[in-house]
Amino acid sequence: MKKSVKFASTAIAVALSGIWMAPLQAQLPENLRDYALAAQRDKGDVIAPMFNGWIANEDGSTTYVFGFANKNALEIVDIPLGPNNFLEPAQFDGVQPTHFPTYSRGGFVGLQERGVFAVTVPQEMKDTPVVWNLTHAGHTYAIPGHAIHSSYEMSRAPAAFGSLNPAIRFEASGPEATDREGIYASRLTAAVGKPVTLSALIQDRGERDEYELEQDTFALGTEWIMHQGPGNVSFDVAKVTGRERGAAGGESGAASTNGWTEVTTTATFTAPGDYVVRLRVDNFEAPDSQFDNQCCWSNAYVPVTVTP
Amino acid sequence: MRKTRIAGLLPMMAILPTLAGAAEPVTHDITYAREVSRIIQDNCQGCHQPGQIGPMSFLTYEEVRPWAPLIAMKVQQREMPPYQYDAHVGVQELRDDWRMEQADIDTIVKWVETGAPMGDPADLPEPVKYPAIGEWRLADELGQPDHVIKSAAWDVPANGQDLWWEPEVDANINESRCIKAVETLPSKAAHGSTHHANSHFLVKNEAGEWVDDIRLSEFAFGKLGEKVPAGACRKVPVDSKVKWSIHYYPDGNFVADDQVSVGIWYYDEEDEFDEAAAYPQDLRLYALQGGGDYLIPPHGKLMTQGFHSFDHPVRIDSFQPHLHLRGVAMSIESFDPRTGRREILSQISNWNAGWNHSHTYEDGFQPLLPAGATIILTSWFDNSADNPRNPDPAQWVGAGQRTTDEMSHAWIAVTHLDEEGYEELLVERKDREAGAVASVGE
Repeated sequence: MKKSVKFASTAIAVALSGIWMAPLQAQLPENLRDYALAAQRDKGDVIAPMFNGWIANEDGSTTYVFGFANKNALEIVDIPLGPNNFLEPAQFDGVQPTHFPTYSRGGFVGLQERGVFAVTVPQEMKDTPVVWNLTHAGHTYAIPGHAIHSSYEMSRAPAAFGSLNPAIRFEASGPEATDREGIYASRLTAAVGKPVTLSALIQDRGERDEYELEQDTFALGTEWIMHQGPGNVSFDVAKVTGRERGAAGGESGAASTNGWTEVTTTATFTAPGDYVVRLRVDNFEAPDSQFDNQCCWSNAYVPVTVTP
Repeated sequence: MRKTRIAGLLPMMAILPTLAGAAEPVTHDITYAREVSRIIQDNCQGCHQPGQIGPMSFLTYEEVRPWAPLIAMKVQQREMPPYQYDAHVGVQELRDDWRMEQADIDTIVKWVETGAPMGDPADLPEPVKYPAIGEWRLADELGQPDHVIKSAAWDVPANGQDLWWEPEVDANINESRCIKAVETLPSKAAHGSTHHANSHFLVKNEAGEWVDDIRLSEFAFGKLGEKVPAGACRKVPVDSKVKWSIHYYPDGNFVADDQVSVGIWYYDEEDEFDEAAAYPQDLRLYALQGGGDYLIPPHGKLMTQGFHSFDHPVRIDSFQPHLHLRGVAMSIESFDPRTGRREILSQISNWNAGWNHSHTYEDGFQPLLPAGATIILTSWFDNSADNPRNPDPAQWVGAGQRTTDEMSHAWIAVTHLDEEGYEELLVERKDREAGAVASVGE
């Protein structure tokens, strides 16, 4: 009896909703129905592994660039390396982030953190996609990095006004990073709750001679970002924009012409274990450089072992 | 090409079926010479001729005949002419409306079904003279522009990633005048690689710093010029610069020292234009979902929305969706809080990123919104393999500047009214509708 009452009331409700909905449905073509409306949740939503594009290198190898987007408005998510966070083929696994902050930068920049890491596959593997598998909130995404479409092609060539990716070194005469793949510093050690100093040398790069610009070099922006690790890390100075660095003097374009600028911060960790901190260096003050058009910044990574 | 139709009731309710103006279907044997050639002239040859962007020429029967079945299919599906705008809902009175009349579509289909015959060559119309690529599209109607501003020269590479060239150039404007029309013109050589070219004015503030002023023009693939409607003034600032934002997407051709041009036609004495009585008009970007706070899942679909309200009455003069490769549709609605009524003003349910049309409402048919009303923008994205323009359905897609990223905004020209002007326009429309009803009744 109860069942039939429920069925009858459901049928009436469906019929009524049909009456109410009919005018709207009549206006909306069938091909535009069954679309979810974009709306952020505070928590419980997925982490999107994102393939940003591919670069054909001169030696025949191919570089695949990845980023991510945390769809949540508030929930910061950590997904350790392992069955819920791995790259295939396995030889490339381990360079991806485990820490996924939320971002809301506005405009076309939006929710994405771009160019977080990159892997380079040798020429003989150029037809093998590099797949980032990421599981969270009940969903698994297997996102391929592959060079199947020119619209995803990227370049290391100068941008419209000659900007190149900035350079990063950990030692004055050491190797340097000028790309998303980055370089790794020598491993540091630290104790839980005890600040440890992180530092790097940075330099603006560009081929700007042929352009009529007000300055030849630009103050660089920097951001220290937790990349991997079992706990949390806090920085005394996490982010300095190029505008802030330029305004502060001493590190502005004119003052550091073709010179290297040392950037430092202290990092304090909350739990023991192995961490990786990423340093992103950008030249977004240059007129041809923007985060949302994939130019220009470089990465460098600092491994830190934290003891109890 | 669609002819102007007799008005329905209020423009925001213009969902009545067509009353008149459509071409009559023919009942005798259809030939190329007598009927189809004229339809092709009116609807296809502007692009389908040597040197133009159509991939094949349709100037003669010999050129058209091999493509006849494909033409029939494309016009039936309303993929060609490339003017995507829903006919069943929203304001239907548009300027420069490329949509074909259904009777013309039926004529082409019938012609193809009966073997696509040539007929008597004596029935052929005179050839039409068209402006060449690199020439102003509005020149036929308005003559050469009164003022031309060019971007700084730049070499466009043949291949590689998307590039953004954002030079600032002197506007060389000495007198503040009202714009009658504006057109952005890519060079002939870079016609295929100029993805978009936006321009806005820079003026000096009190501190002597150059700051953003009003938008001059917006251009994307396939867009014509833009005419400012009657009663509105979009004014150019003196002693200003123009900042360009040009997005090149290399198409295989190297172009040295490329320059994009923007042409301005001003109102002059012949136009009977009363600047003192005109209301200010602007062209602005209206973002959905904050412009970038959305992510389209791999093999999935998503809808975004944006809401914008005004504290004064406005007239919506034009509406131009801007999406990228996963975008498939956009609509604009109005919401009147006084009545709680939502109404679709325009809907494009088969969006094509290759054709960015500014849908300009005919004078007298622009939607009028009272103070406090809201426009609701909705866009639809299809990241599945069903979307033929999708370069890679396996990827998450978010907002960004590159062609393969997405955008979700509309360019809307708005005339900002006061209560008096709003009421005057309402009365004009009511009078016209009363006249139309009386005319039909007679």
